[in-house]
Amino acid sequence: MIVSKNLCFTYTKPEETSESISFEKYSAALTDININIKQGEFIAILGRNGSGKSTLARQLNALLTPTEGTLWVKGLDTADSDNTWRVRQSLGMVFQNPDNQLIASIVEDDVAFGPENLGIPTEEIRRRVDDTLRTVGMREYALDAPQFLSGGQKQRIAIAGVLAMKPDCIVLDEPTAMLDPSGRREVLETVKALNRGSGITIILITHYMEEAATASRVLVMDGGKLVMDGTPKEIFRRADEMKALGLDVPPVTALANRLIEMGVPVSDSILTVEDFLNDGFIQTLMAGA
Amino acid sequence: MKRITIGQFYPGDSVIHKLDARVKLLGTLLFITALFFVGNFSGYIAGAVFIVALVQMSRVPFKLLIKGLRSVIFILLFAAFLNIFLTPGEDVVFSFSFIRVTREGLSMAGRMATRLVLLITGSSVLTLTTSPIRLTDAIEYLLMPLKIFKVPAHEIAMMMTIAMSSIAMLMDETEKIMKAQAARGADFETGGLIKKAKSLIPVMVPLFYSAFRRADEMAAAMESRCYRGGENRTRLKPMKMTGNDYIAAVILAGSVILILMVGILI
Ligand SMILES: Nc1ncnc2c1ncn2[C@@H]1O[C@H](COP(=O)(O)OP(=O)(O)O)[C@@H](O)[C@H]1O
Ligand SMILES: [Mg+2]
Repeated sequence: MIVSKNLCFTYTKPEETSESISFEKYSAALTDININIKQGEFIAILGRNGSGKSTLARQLNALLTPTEGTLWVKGLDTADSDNTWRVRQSLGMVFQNPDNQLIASIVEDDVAFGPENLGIPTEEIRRRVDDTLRTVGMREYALDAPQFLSGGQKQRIAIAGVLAMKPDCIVLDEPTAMLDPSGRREVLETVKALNRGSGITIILITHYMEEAATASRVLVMDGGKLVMDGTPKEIFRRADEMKALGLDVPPVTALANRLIEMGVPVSDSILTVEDFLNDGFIQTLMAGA
Repeated sequence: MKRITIGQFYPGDSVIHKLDARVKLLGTLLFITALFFVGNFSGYIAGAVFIVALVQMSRVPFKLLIKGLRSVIFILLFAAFLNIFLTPGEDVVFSFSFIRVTREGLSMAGRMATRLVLLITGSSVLTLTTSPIRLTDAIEYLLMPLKIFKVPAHEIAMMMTIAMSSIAMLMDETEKIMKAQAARGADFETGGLIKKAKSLIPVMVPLFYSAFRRADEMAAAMESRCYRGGENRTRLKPMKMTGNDYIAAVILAGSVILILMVGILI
């Protein structure tokens, strides 16, 4: 689905003098990224601020194209401008700020924006708008103004807007960073249901370790490089390395790791509170109490 | 609940909401033009009745219209004052050293203010009952003939829509920033004009920052959803004139002509 080979990217700034335009280079934002993401995966991308997560997301959507190396989305080279629209149709983006990505002032008009741009016939747009709004549980808000909805609801509309383009993959760049806990839960559950129900590949950029813990694979970035790639269990076991990268592990994993250090025989692959409560040792402990 | 500003859409499903946006836009333009030919108060009353009737039919709360007016009250007063003092006239009502208030001046100011109120409420009826997307479509349609002069009709219409939707967001943002700065001890209330202007700098800088960031993020969001101008775009709600729209167009045109006749002849 998504394959990259030695993908590098450097932001440039045009420097205009009276005679010529030259390009001043910033330091590299992405260096030698090699990824291979298959259809149906649920990927979480972690990394401290400025590690290049958003830059990578914009590459996937062909908002930016590699300065070196190659990136293929569904076999399409993103650097080829003939492919731009097909890449964007099959890989949708949801951004962090819900207020700055809703274009229309009625929910259903906003969801229709993508299909309208694709030139889909009217009846089909209608069907897609109704279906996707139902999928994200916002059907009854179709005629409302988004500005009066909660952050979680706005993000679900943004997801519906992407879904209406019938993508194979959705990239979400810190979609929950500006939301309250219940909004975060709404968004995460919607995304998970899409992944499980429709087999849509999800790439979730997040600062919340609990969210990353539920992914099928975790990628960790630092300084524009891909530094870790594995299942949440493999990644969060390496708590010290994570700390060195400015990242935490989920609180309950941190607790389990401390218990292990202290010699308590709990499992070393606890990621969620349920894992913890279902752990063999904890169970016997609770049965004894 | 957030504040509603002028020009903001109030969703609904009244006859006025459902009316073709082109009919509404042309009707509004016609009404505004007519206002400039109406010179007497019976004409203004006819205009006011027309607006009140439309608002009743649209089921938009009246207080939204009043609120919209409140935000332009200064412009209104300013225009009225200029007219009171600058209109030449014979029939002096009141004078104090070099200030002369004449009957002609007062009547001119009254007419000007009424005209502005009708103009603002009239166009608010349009924007309150028409979603910006529909309005864009209508503006684009009416600008279409200019395309032969290479006028980018779609782009102009899209820019107007985004500008309108951004006003509300920027006002909210301004309020947020002012509160945040006030909490840090900023004082926007006291001092002379210069001091007040200076105290606004810490508001303007973050405001510009967030406006540019919004522009940047919005452009990315639109591009990532395959936006590439007006070409080959289809519509969820294509513009189509129905029988009702034609009837409404005739009624609107008729009412405006009636207002004109009342305003000029009676
Ligand atoms: N538009 C830009 N122009 C120049 N440099 C940028 C731009 N956007 C991001 N960068 C730089 O690229 C690096 C990666 O940024 P970003 O991808 O936004 O990281 P993250 O999303 O992980 O916080 C940072 O050093 C940042 O300063
Ligand atoms: Mg980022």
